[in-house]
Amino acid sequence: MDDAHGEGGTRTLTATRATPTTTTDPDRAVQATGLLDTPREERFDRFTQLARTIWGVPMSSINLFDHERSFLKSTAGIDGVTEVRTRDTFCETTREHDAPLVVTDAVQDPTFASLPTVTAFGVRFYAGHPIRDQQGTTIGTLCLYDTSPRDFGDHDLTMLEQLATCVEDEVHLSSDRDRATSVQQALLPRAVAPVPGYTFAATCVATGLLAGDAFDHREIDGGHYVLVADVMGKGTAAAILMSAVRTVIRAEMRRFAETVPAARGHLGGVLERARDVVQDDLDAAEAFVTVFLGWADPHTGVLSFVDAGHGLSVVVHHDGSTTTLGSDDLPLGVDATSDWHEQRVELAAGDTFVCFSDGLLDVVPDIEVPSAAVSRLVAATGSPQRLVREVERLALAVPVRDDVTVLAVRKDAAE
Amino acid sequence: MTEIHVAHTERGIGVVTPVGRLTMVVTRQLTEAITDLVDGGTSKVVVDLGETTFLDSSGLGALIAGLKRCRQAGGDLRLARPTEQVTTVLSLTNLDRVLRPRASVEEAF
Repeated sequence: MDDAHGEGGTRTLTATRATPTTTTDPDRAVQATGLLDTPREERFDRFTQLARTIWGVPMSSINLFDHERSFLKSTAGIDGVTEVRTRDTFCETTREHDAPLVVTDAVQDPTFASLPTVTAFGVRFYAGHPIRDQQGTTIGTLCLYDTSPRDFGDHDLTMLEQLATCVEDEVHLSSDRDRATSVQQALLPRAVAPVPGYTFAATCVATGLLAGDAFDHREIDGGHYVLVADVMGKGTAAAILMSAVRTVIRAEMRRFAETVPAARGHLGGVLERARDVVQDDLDAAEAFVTVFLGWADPHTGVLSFVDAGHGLSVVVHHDGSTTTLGSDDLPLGVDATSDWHEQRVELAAGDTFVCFSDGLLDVVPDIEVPSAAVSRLVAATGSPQRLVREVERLALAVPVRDDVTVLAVRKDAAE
Repeated sequence: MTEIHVAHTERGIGVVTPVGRLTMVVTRQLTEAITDLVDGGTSKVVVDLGETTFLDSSGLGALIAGLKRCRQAGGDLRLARPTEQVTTVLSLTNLDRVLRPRASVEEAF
């Protein structure tokens, strides 16, 4: 960094880091982080706390510039303040110069001596470093304050720059993650048109920000396709694979549904053709996917299905008894030559079909026998919507280890 | 803390023993241990699960990946001494069809 010594020991520095290549409206850039007016978060607080520990200063903050104000995303040693007028702060100068700023003794420097933080709160020392977004637009500052004058050497500045980079990484991560989460949510099926005589509900609660589970439900030419799938593992890697697998199955399912029944072949063929497309990708990623794939005819109540190592589907009959829909077939991606067998189950009036991912086993109490636990859940909740809401409540009540997906369809009792 | 121990039997079979929880945290170690064995010419591998207290789907993924690797090299990967939790996970996914558990390391090959 190049120093420019100012009055009273104040130093402004020209940044040595990448300069912005594009000019973005700073207010919009800040807005885009999605961090304005959000609650305190440990992932930012640890940086302000770390700053206090490293330099032994009483106060530190992460400020985000929003028009005329600065929103304090994180503070350490400053209580009860969440925003300030930017022009009342040292950070105004940091923003103007778009470079680190060190004020060793504000009382000695006419630029800063009359700031409210100096006159009312007795701040003498300030060091601030710009926080930039991925386009290089300055959106805020990482700040240190002390009520005594102090020196701040080149080594300190290097450390402050490194800490600011960590804060930036966290800011970037949140915008990426928020976008990924909203895209994934958008990929889940929206409410489908109600099918007379049936009630349907489903949910997918991710352990992290992205789920390796998925469900799908489409009406194709009067038939209904349902899918619950779980990629081994969880998190971003699983979510990427799931996105590919679900699209391929959906496309094969559409082809199946649009073929005249006599020429369709069996439902296992859908998964076998999907396997031919994704096997190489799953091999390369060393992953496999458990799948429940169903095709339902609402007129007859017959649900045709294949179960690829999923094993977690139950029909709860109106009297509370259960039929577990299992198979001996392998998950998708384990063996390039495996085949899948179509089975059938008929839903009678009052029966509820429930398919879930293994994450449910971690959140539902007394689930040693899953079919019995699901039967109790169906009885206690009374409708697919309430069942799904109850599972969401349970999944959000504890720190879950795995994604939780549940899909429920009830064939309504005759009026 | 999970540890992965690697040994060879007198008959040249590789024995990989994960001690503790076999989850995403250690799948890379497990995969590397199996890859090292296969690359070193040992394509018959037993994963001894007698000391494995918990297996999740990531661990299962690593076992399947190891199985594929061993078979590609002309060998096989077999499991020995699974605990009840591990047996349940294997049977739920039908993966006991390709990773059929054996009662002891000696019986695996």
